[in-house]
Amino acid sequence: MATKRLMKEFSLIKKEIKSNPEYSNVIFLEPLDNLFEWRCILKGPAKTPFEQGKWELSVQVPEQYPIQPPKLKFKNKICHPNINFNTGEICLNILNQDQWSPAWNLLSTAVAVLLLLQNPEPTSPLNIDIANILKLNDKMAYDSLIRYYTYRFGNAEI
Amino acid sequence: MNGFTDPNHITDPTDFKTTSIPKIFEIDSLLRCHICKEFLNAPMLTSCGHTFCSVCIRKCLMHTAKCPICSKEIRESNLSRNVVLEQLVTSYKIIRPDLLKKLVVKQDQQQNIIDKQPEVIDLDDEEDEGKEEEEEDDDDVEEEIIIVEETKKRKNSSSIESMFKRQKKEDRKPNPNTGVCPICSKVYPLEELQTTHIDACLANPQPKSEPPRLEKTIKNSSSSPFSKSFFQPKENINNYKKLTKLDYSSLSTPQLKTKLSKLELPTLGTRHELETRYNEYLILWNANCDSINAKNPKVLRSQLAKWESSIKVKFEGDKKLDKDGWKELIKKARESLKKDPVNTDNEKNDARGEIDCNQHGD
Repeated sequence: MATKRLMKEFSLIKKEIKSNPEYSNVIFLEPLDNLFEWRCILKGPAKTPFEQGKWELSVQVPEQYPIQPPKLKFKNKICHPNINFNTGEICLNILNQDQWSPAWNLLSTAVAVLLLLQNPEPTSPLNIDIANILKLNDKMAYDSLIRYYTYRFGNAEI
Repeated sequence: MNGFTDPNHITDPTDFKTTSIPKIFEIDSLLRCHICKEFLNAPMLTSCGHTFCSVCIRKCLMHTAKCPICSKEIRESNLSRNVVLEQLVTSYKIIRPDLLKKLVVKQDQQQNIIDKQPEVIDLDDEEDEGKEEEEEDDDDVEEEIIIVEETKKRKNSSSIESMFKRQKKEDRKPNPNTGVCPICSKVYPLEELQTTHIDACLANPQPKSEPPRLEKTIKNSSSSPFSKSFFQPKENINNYKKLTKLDYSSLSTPQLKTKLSKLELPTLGTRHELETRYNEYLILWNANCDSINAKNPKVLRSQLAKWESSIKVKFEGDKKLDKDGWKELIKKARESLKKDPVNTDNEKNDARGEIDCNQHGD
């Protein structure tokens, strides 16, 4: 089931990614040398401190996909309350088995990560420092720190 | 290459986005399962009103008892069959390739619209043409497109009608070289009917469910997909009894083996393998019971064997395609794009882009 569905997703992504404005920040989403390992490049959404940044994510698809969720990780460093600065691990509810739904696909998962960039959740942080700044509502410190790290590390290339 | 499907057979709703009736995109996507993204196979209605393939939703509910769309709690026992939908999917699947072929807007026609070739522009005032600013020109183009589409629609609908008319005629005047089997009421070539088929049909009542690989027959059944279930409801439903889940904790390994051998399944392997085998077969079997065109258990067993071997390959860590295998796949995909007249140039460009990207990816 997984391979067939992944083939389908791939052919759909090829068509959708360029034409549909909903996916304009997903610059690249393609399998590597097998269908169970994908590479994704996301662009920081406009009007956020992540603007101009580009991050590479590794996408590991389990054999049981779509019953089980894919595993996503940031490859280059990103400063975000819900993303581990060193490992790139993402804290996102839909990536957990109990919140994941098989009706989701890889593209919608990538969009969910983009939404997380726009809407951080400081109550379940993986990067405590930036989460604390957000909790204290220091908008200026939050934005400028993220902008610095975006400038410093957010430069993945296709 | 284990498990990889032929790229030619990958269809998706966006195929219709480039046709003269892009709205069919919606119908096409509504007839698909949200889990496997294929056309619904033995669709099951949940208590919350959503529909999935029987196999998919059963597999899903084994993990979490939640609807994949609205995440309401649902139970496997509350699933109910959706017969009309299954018939709808069956007949849609048959007409889909023809529909796509008839509705596809040829590349040069599209170009005509964009380039505003004289034939199309004739419909409008020529005076306006020269004077108006560019923005309004765009409006003109849109009107033209609508006109072109309407004429196309008319043409297409008439050709679709004629398609059906032709089929009806075929029904009335059956091919003299074929005949209807009195037992399973399917059409076979006369020769096969007289020599082998009737004996086989009498000896084994199952072949009914195995559709003979004859185009004629498929067409016939497509013209009246519902007649079967209307006139012979008992034959297709409940030919097979549903299997029940096993309580593995109270079952010894020999007992489990006898259960498996009763179902004519292999009894080799570790306890864990036996359990996963039974679970998978349970899903396949019960889903098969939900289908109008239930398959022969033999088919299910071969599906199970295929599934098991694919799992084994993955366990051995051999899931990676080697470089050559991957290149082969890309080559195939490319060829299919070239061959398939339905695909537009647009997609070809995409495919090229993809290969370039892959090289970067390496």
